[in-house]
Amino acid sequence: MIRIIYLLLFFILYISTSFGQQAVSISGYISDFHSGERLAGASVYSLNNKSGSSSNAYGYFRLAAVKAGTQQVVISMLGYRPDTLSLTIHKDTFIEVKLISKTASLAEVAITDFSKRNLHVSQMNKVGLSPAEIKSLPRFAGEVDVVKALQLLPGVKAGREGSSDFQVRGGGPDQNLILLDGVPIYNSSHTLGLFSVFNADAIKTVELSKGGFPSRYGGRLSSVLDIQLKDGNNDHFRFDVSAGLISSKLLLEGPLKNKNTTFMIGARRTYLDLINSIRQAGSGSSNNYNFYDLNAKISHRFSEKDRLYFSIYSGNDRLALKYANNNDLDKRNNSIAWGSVTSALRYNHLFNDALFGNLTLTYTNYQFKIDNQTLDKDDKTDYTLSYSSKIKDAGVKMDFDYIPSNNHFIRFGSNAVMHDFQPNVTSIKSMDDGDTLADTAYNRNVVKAFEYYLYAEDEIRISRKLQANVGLHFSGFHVQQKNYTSLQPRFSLNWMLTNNNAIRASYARMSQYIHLLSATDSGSPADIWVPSTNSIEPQNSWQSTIGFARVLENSRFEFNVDAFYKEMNHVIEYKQGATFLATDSEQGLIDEASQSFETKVIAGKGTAYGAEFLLRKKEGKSFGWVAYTLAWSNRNFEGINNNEVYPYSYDSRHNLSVVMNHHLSKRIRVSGTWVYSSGLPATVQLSSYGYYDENGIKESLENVNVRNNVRMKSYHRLDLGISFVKQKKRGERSWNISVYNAYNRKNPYFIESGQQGAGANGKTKMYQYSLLPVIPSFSYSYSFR
Amino acid sequence: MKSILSSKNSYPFRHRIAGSVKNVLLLCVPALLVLSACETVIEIDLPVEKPKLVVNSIFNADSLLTVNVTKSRPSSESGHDFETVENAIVEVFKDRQSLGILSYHGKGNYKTLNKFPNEPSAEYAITVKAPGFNTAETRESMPLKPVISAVQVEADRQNSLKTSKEFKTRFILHDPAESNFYFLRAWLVNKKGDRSPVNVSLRNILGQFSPLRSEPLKIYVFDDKSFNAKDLNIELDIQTYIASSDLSQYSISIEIASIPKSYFDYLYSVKKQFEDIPLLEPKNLPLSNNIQNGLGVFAPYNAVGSSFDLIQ
Repeated sequence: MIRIIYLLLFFILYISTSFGQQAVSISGYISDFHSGERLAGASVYSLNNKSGSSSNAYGYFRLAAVKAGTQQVVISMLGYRPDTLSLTIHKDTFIEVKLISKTASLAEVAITDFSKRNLHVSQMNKVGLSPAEIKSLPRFAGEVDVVKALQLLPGVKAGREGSSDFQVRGGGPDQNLILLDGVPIYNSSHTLGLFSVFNADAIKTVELSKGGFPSRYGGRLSSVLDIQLKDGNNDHFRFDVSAGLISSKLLLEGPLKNKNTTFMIGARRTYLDLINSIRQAGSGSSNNYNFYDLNAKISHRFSEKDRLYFSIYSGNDRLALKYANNNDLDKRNNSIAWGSVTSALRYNHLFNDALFGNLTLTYTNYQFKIDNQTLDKDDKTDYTLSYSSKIKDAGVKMDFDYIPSNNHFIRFGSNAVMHDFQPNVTSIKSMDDGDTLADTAYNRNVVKAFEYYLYAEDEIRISRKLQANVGLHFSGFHVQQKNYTSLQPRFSLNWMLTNNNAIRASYARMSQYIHLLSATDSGSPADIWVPSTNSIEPQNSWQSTIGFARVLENSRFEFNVDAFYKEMNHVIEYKQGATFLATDSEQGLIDEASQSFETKVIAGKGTAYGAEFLLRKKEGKSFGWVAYTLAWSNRNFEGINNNEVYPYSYDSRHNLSVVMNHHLSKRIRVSGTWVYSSGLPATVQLSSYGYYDENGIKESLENVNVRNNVRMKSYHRLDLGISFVKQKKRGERSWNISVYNAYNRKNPYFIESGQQGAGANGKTKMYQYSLLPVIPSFSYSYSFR
Repeated sequence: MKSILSSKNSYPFRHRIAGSVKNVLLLCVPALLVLSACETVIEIDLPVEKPKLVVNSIFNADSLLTVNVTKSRPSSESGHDFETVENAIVEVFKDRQSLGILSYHGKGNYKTLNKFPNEPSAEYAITVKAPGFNTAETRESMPLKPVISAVQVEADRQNSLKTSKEFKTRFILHDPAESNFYFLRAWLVNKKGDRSPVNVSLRNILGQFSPLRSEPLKIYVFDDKSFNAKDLNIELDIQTYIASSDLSQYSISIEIASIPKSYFDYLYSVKKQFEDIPLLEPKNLPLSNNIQNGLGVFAPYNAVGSSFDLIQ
């Protein structure tokens, strides 16, 4: 390991000493004119030098080695009006640039060649969605949903109908690193997966990497979803409110004290339980469900070089079922709750104009809990059963951006996280006649693990036409006296064939030390996160991609095609028939409670390959995209399907998404999405035989020894939306009407066989269950200036 | 000794508390969605699976061996009955020595003519050959007979209409050190020796289950995870529906048997298949199977029993 560290340090020093000398430079921050939000990924281009750079995640840029004298510098970013600065410089110069958003005006603005970020190496295998794009899509039950928007992109597959989990390029839902302001999120959905936990109002940027991962990312095999929260408006105080069928939201943001401090608070809550509590008032019984989430961020600028951020996310779902008889003598309280708190304290420091540093302390607390209590005061009996799954993480992270020249953008850093896992704690308390009969907890032990990584990468401009990102990611995991380490080379290459065309290729190795065990593939909160242990090895993968990108019509359109191949090892699944929680018998309860999760899983292999096509129009009165994915995804586990390769549960051959938005006028906006997926695999009985006891055959048993042996029907759905926007005296008012599943397609949720007809003429038929019919919804929002 | 889940009304509590975990999860779906799920019958081209031999044999050490041989039925075919295999050659082995070929007695049953000697730990095997099928094979060891003591019986209560009467029975099960698996059942036996299963409510054993929903109270299956290598006081309520005047014509026979793990796994997988819950449990669970090149279960068991008359 020491060698690896030396290797990384040498790599960094070599790069920095080789390219560290330059004359005059222009550096500074790029931010939004109205809100003051720092803008990541903005292009900075010197017309005199014919060289450019771009801003980092905190809006900082450095344009090195520019000639002293008058410089024409163009700053541009998608969705903003480009700004051309005329600067007379004789020494290193620091500037603050504010770009004006184009959203207020729909005027088309030509984008200059150098801003074709789609052709840049940093954009390979990456797709981004702006909050405006996400909000423009048709809504489900009145809710704007980030993950549902991502599911419309090529290579991204939705989970089961309506769910807010996703699979990327044949990977599992646990193989997505979901970062909220740099902190991993373990559970990304509310309401059993129907809604994602991300409040679109509080989000600044959303970027999804599907392959060719830069070295700064690690810990998951298949994707990185990087969501940045707004910092808060530093110009004026403002707030948004909105109300839908399910929930209401509020966003407050603004400056504090000389505009050096900004804050943002976004909150969302459902009100089904509030309505129910009124309806159920006075009765001893109640059934309630709610979820809430809260995003808050505060940042303070100490100087141009120092800035401190604190962000926190807290979200929770809770379903409570209570019963009590009239005299309160007999009570039953059942509840299920899951949620997490994540927080990050980040300190930005600009060491010099070439070196930008970032120190982050992170904390995550995720918990899923079921409580059941049966109380009988007459009998003095009290039985309580609790089940919980918890993860606590505390980490520290250091990231540095070093920009020695316009041809190198070097990132390096490290991360260390202490994990505390309690994957499946079951406790039983029992009192009878006032005597305590049992007070037992199974699997209470905390599995402690230490995860760390070091990385270094360089985004190199080898020539005007050739760019590369090369790097190393070294990670380790220490658990139960066992050390796992992994050295992961990463490589991306981008070759500009012409000004409008580029071909690209990438290779990445990844390791993953924590795993999600899912019995149902339905996004249940009962899916539990477990660590690698002595007997469960980390997952690892390698992925290679090759692609082509083209921009058309002066950057109004972009076209991408990417082919990928991915191999995954030590992917884990439950053994045949093993579960953790859902059981109807004491035997099941004891089995689940007393056995370690390690005894219930098996490890196997996976492969995924395919091609993705994306034609996208990002600007103008009409915008949207068409995405098509042709893909295969397989799994191979010893003991399943006679050890033969079988299709993964989310293997879908053809996936097509058509997304259209059109601004009919300044006040009326319409949108529509249509998705098609060929049928998912399912497991059904292909034969039956008799259940026998000593008196003969009694029942028919299903012979199900081959997993994923049939395909369900294809899935398709049309969603429509229309928004009526009106500028008012104090802000903007918006009504949105959406229709989910507009032509009421009965899409398969699951299928099972059953007997149709009785007696000898009874026939085995397949029954398909569908979940979400046509669902109209509306929502109202008001954005106060 | 009281079970941690026992109480005056322990039976409902036991099941309520175990089931409530599932119930909470199960309630989530309809409670949250407020959306109508719908079911449609669809046509799907299913791969055609060739029928396999289904070999079932569950036998006590002191009983005749019966091997039932049928065919599995592809899902594309209709009907409830399973086709019997009448031309099979069924051979029995004990400790790898052939005990002979069984004779066919109709309804797919092949039987021995003599009882097996009770030889604990002996390995029994059968092969089944039938035209058009691969030879099905299986082997399993006869478990040790369970040891019980201190059997006590008392009449408990009679309902107001005097149509049912409960008997409370207690005994001690001495569990050996290794993992052990059991079933327990009771019979109502008339003077002619005809037996019919009776409802049993079993206390004191954490982890018990009945494989079939249709007769949840007639047989209990359990393992010794909660009392391994200990003496366990077992208490069971047996409910009879006999007119008071006829009580003297009947006796109750209780049977507790050691079973091999493969049989326990089979019964457990049967139970899990019948309780499969959409959305929350794995769909279409496979059944445990100890028949090579076939389906079914080969299950020697070793039982010990106790009988008592209903009028004491």
